[in-house]
Amino acid sequence: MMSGHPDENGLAVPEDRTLAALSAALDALGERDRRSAPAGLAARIADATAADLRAGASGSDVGGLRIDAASTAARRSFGPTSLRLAAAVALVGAVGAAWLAQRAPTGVQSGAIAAAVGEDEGWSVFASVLDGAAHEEIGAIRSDAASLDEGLLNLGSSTEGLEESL
Amino acid sequence: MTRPETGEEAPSDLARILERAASGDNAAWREVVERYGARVFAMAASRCRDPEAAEEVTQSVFATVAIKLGGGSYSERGRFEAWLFRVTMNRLRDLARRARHRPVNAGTDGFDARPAPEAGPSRGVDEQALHGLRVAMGCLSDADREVIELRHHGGLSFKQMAEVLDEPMGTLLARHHRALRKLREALERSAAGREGLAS
Repeated sequence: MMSGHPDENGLAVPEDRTLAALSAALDALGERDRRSAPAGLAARIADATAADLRAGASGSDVGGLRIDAASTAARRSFGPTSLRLAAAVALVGAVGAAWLAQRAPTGVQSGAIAAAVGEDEGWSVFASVLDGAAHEEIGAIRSDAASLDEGLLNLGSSTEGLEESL
Repeated sequence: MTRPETGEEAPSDLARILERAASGDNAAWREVVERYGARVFAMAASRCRDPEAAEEVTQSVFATVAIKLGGGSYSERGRFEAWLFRVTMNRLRDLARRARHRPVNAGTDGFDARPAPEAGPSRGVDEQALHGLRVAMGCLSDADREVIELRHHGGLSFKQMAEVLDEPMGTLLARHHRALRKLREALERSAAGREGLAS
């Protein structure tokens, strides 16, 4: 389909009358937006960017890199809240996994869990990093682990007693 | 209909101004911004629909141009206008990508809500029709919109648009024609919608 013919400026005018009218209306809209530029726009922008012109003149590569770095930083900026939330969950998960990994060997070892917990250097590291409620919670978990260990020991001795009686 | 003057009319004059601006001449730089500022602003305004955001985009475009010009990175002699509008187009594409994450209310944009005494009425077309046209432009794809905005807001010739978008001129003529048809369809749909509501 022929899309138009060039006008006196080498531009194209659509041959369809309704499209030509639409094109004219768009010209009017464009003109309106050009004329709606705030007063003093050019002066403000020229003043604000004159320093950029001099910065560019002082070192072409530096100038170019500065803009690129700025736009890259904008792209890298931590965006939506959902991403931040996901990152926070991942961080908590990683800390939890590290804690479990550190706890597992002592958990499967024999009897002296409470003693091992007390001597575990990892605990002091965690304790120094965490504070407040988290610290208290760790203390509660430690005491739970100690009582569980004690319970296991008692269970072992009572089983022995049962075998003897049988 | 008034068309902005293009840099194609006086390339040697523009080349001299650019040369002076590149050497740090503030007056020459201001002349460059005065010559093209409103056209870049109009393109940004069409997309942002917020005068302050449009001014920020315009300033960002000229900051990029200033740095490249001052640093001697601009080497496309005689094609400054195409280069300037390519920078503008890239900024607007970035803006469009970011804007996809936040909805825009077509009925309450800053341009149509505020009085525009400095703009005044556009000849031959009433303001309501322009508002309808602006809303209908929101129905176009980014690619169609780019062609319309470069042509009617930026005031570029199809030859310059071909340089900006790196496409053959015939392709751009066809794309422009297709975008106009889509716009007409969008306007017809909205008119039919209004009639349906009225009845």
